[in-house]
Amino acid sequence: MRVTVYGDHINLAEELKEEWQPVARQAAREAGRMLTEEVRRLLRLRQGRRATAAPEGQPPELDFGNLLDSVSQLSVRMRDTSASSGVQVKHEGAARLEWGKTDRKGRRTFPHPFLRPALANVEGPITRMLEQRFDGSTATSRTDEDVVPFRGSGS
Amino acid sequence: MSTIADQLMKGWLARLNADEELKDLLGGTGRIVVASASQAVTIPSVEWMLYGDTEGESFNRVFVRLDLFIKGAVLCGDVEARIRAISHRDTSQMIGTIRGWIRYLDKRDMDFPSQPGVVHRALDFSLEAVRTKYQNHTA
Repeated sequence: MRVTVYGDHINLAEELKEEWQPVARQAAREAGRMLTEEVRRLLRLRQGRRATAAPEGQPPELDFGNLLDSVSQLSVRMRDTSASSGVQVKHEGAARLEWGKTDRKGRRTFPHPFLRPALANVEGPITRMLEQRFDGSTATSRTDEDVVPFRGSGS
Repeated sequence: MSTIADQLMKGWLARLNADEELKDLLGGTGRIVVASASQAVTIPSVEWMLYGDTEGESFNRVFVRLDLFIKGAVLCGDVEARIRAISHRDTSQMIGTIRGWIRYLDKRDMDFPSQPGVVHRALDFSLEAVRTKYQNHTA
């Protein structure tokens, strides 16, 4: 799951790119950190035991912490006028928890999403953070929507 | 679930259950049920489940996952299209007694290996109540 800070599709002059890239890199890193922290917060919400489980649809319980330990922030990737960062989860059961699964015998594992709710929770704060960082630096005017040239997007 | 989310969900379910075309596609009433680990999946059926933060502020968005269990991809596509047609709007709408938004977010096909030919498709929606009169945009 990545947060991308991207510029509009314009050809920036080299000197402008040099000016923009460090700011965008820092913003993407901060956005990725916010997302990662939110994922970790959701995974710490419920302290469980091996025999218990979180309600369906809620983030999973923290039993041994293996899932929590496998959460890490992606390093910032710069590509022309975009900078992205995000969160990755390496635990092999992460996809099953996020989406749920049915096995061959029809037994179902109900989903315990923790990535999508995290993204939904930080979408607003990340957008505000990006607006604050880029407001006045390159924007010439501003409305409620798309005039701020560098925006955040979750994917 | 908070009261507002509860009412939004109730209003939306009432709309889905009352839709004649959807009823025909699903082969009758009582096919839209809450997801439950204690009951086996019936074919065809639509299961709903709330996910995400349901204990936050009452005006917060709530996320709903609909699981479609339908025999055949064509019929499944028809059910999905009908649900989306009577649910998603880009502007606010009356959902039961509350004005709010129903937004379609995402979908994915899942494996359902226990019954060949059955398509298991998950649709994600968000429900959100209008907070102020200034958000009260109508189509």
